[in-house]
Amino acid sequence: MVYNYPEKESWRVYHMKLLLYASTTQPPWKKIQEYVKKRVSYKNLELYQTIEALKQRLCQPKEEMFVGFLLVSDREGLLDILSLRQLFLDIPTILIIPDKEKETIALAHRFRPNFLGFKDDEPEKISQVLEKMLG
Amino acid sequence: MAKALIVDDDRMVCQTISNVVESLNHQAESVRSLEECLQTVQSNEYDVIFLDVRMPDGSGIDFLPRICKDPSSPEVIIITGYGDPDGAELAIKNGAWDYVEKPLSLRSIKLPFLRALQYREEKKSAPQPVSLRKEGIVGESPKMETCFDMVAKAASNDANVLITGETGTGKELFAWAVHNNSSRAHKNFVVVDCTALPETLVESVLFGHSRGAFTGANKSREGLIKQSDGGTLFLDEVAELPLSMQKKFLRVLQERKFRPVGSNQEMKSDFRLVAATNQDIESLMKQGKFREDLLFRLRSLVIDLPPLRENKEDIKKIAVHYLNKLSDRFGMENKGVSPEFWRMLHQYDWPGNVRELIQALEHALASAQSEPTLHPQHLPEHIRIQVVRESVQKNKKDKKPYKKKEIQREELPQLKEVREKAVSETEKEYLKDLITLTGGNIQEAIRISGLSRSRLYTLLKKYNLSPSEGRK
Repeated sequence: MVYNYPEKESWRVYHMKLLLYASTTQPPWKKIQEYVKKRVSYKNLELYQTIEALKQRLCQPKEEMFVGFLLVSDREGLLDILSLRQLFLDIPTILIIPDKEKETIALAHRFRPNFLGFKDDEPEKISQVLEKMLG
Repeated sequence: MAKALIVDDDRMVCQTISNVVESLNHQAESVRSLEECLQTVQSNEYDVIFLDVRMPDGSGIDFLPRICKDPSSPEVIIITGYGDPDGAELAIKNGAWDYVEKPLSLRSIKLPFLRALQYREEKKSAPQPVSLRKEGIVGESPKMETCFDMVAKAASNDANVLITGETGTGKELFAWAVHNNSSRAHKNFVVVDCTALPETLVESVLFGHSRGAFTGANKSREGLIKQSDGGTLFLDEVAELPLSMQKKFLRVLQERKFRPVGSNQEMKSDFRLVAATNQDIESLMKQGKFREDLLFRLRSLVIDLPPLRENKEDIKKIAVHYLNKLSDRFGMENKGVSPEFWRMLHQYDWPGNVRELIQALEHALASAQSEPTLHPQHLPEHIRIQVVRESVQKNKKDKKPYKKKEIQREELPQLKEVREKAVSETEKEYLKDLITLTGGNIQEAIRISGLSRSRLYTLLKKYNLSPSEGRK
């Protein structure tokens, strides 16, 4: 599903598009999501809320370069995302995970994200990384 | 008793080396051509082969990969009468054990021979690794085989590894392969993308921080170094690491101890380091942008990945692999590929390497949609334009031995300079056509060109051409 909301003049123009996956709108996920959306023009953003929709998109040819931003709310969701790892081979990705348990972190590293964050990280910090990756 | 084979058309050289080998109580045999060498190697096992570069029936360096592929996998020492550092590098990259120059002395033969035997003995007694998991990396060229050998070597120990190569050559996949083939495979492989980290965040992300260490640090956080304890820390684009961090990281590498930001307590982490860069890190070091002591620590083992333009023999294999994979992903039937499509893939230089090739294939499949065959028209426009431009420029260059900009200079170049350039360019193009036309057959090339064998080899060497290019 492509997120659709009005263009703002303050949005920066990036070289890459953002592929945002967020299966929950519960806080603090919502806070991070809103923070990201404020920084990227809707023209540069594709938002997916189910793993099936995300998979369907990744199984289509992509004409643009993407950065992935994956908000995973629980360990089951992390396993779902791991099952799509092969489809992310050429997509630099930020992965935000729900907790700091050793097992969760180990699973997250199997995805080999370019940046691994946690749900309670400062959105400002995550946003700095995202801006650098979007170029 | 070890067995050595000497491959040289010079009887005196064979005799000299045989004398040295036999004086060391080993057995020596000699042959006078590459063809004879191939037959002998197929029916006998040798420990060491002394191989002359310039043989009557071809180049020893071109022949090297065929010898290295023999099941007995002998160590090869290249011999040449010409001082040629590039040739030496090429020989080593193609799998030679060592490189010695004529005139040969007792010492120059004895030392590399004994070292090669020692290496071979140790290699035999070392536990054989289980077959290497290549993690989706495709390639069978000698250059890629050398890289796989380095992965196997890296996987069998804990030394720091530096992976170098242009963007898109697959540095991360190689790092992953090193980890997955090592004893640390069951632990974390932690990626640190140094290009993604703002300078202000690098330290806390790597080392972690304690609660209250800085504004916004409401909770303590474990850094990536700690998360890689027992596993592998992969520093991608390590040249982007700020100088201040390089100094701190050097200490971690030396002691495997670090202190999280704002903490008084030191922590330990037993990680294996793999770093990668697409930059000329040696030149950065000379400019003072990368610490020399850190570079020395990083490059205990170096895996230098070839750019795709230097590895064109693998293009078809890689393309077939990814066409199948992408067709599967997009739910498409496998498509046929026109000869012109393959030709264009071979003609393009691929500055973005394998990554660019994959993107071009993805584009081609998307453009072709339900059409059953891929044609050059399905490739991205910039690729088609580049190939056509180069082809036109080449034709133009063929017609003009000096460039127009030279005429516009205040002074014209000397006629001698222009003439030499014209002759060189014409000779090179002629030789390229000659080896293509003859399919690399030297006898035929001599007959057509009217050159003597030695003159032909001298010219091929001068223009860095090889008869094997005509056999592709």
